[in-house]
Amino acid sequence: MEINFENVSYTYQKNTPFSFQALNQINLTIHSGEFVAIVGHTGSGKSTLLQHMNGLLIPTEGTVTIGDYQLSSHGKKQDLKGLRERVGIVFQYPEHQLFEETVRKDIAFGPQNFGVPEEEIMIRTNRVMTDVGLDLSILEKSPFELSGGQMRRVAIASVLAVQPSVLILDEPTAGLDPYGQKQMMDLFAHMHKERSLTTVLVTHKMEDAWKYADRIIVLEQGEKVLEGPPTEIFQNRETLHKNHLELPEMLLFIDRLNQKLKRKIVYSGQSIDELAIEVVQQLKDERK
Amino acid sequence: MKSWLVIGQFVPGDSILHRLDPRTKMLIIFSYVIIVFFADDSIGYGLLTLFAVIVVALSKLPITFILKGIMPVWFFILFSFFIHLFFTNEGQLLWQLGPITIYEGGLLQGLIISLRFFLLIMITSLLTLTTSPMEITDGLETLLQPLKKWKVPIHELALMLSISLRFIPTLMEELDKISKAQASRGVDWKTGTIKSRIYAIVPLLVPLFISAFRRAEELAMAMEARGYRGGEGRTKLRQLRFTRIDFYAFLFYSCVIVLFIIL
Repeated sequence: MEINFENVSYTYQKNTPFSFQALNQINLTIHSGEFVAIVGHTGSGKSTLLQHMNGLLIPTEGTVTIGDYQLSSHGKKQDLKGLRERVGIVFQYPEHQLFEETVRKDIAFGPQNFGVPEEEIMIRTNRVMTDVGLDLSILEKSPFELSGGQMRRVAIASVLAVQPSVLILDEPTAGLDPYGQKQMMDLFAHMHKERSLTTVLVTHKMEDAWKYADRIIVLEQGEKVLEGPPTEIFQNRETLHKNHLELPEMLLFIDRLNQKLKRKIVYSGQSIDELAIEVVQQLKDERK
Repeated sequence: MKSWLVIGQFVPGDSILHRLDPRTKMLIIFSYVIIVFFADDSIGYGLLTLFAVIVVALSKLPITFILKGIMPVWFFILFSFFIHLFFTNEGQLLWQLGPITIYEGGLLQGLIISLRFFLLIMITSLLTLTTSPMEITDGLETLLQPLKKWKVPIHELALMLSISLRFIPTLMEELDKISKAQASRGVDWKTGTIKSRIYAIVPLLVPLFISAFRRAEELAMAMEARGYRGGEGRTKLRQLRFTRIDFYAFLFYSCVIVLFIIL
């Protein structure tokens, strides 16, 4: 499903002394099957932006188009259930949404709301549990007995169980240990490829944006300031710096290396191993 | 979405009303609320309404905002108006349609009751609109100080009050977040049978309670870690002080009361 924002502005608590404009004239398109990262520092409007993607917020100005759905302030009210079935959102700290007595019931909650038959839910439950790397033996436990990491996985599984075709992730790895973070991101990358999902990742971590995304969108104070493929975005160091965003460690490292050794290693997506070989090769050549 | 919340939500500002000592505001409003019930003629009501209008003007808050803020209470105001309109049978008969009758006395009574209601809510919501929760509890604590003689735990009560006031917006925000997360999982509060709609509240309440308890525990721990031991011997960062504005406010208010009694 393609997501399209056209001149979208959003103001919280409009016409009160508390009114606050969170988005200002946003234009963007997320194509079907794309992996897009949205970065920007705290308060840049990332979370507001993604709540427009399944109709939780309706723009105060402009139009959001998601597949067949058109959302705008002057459009008439419509049933958004179908939209929400196809666009799944994993919110920040999704474990705070757990409420059922058992893990199984919590995972079944979403599909039940969308009218998925019971046998199908059983099949899906087993599959998503395996997907997120949880043991089926905890299905009958209470979600509140689990560890923080496990709760996070259950919450993510409960969103995946709806089988959305667009998956929106709002800092899904915040508060996990480094190993868990990597596992989680690899899971999303894997799902993205295998199920040909459209994935939108909101993140603070430039590493993740750079590693997983096809395209990066930089937000600042409710406006889109940069947009493009990662390699292009990270060329634009001044703009990034102005918006309080850092380069991924790997690029910083290459920068330093080039300065120290007066060389020109160009980064074009090598893995660490390939990079190491390249550096060694260059040093060897020099010695000859 | 949150517009109904505005009732009594503090709006930071720098008007005369904002700068008044909270104790002044509370004393004046408390006595005003009592006086409203003693008003029995048009001059009295006129005077009280005039006072309310002046105070609202002094607060420098947009009037539409205040009126919108008391939106949830409009229902009660209208309700009491119509009750009196239809069920008081005094004075001249003005209008009749089958069993429905409207008498002059009913119309008058209805107007008076709803005006009284309106004034009360307007003035009391002005207190919370122009006074931060901190100031309110500080003011209350000092005003109630004399009760300590009878072993009333004033400090603890004030603390409880300020903590609950402090956490209303936080819990509201939390509720908003949870309801958005559950809406994304297909919860529907707007359609379906009444029973299914009531059940749809469970996915909101359970996470909300859990987070409230977690917050309470964290807060208790943070307070103990910072050496909180109750009110005994605790000093204050902000001392409440009466200033010239408070003096003028009392003066002005006394004039209104004197006029009210004379007339």
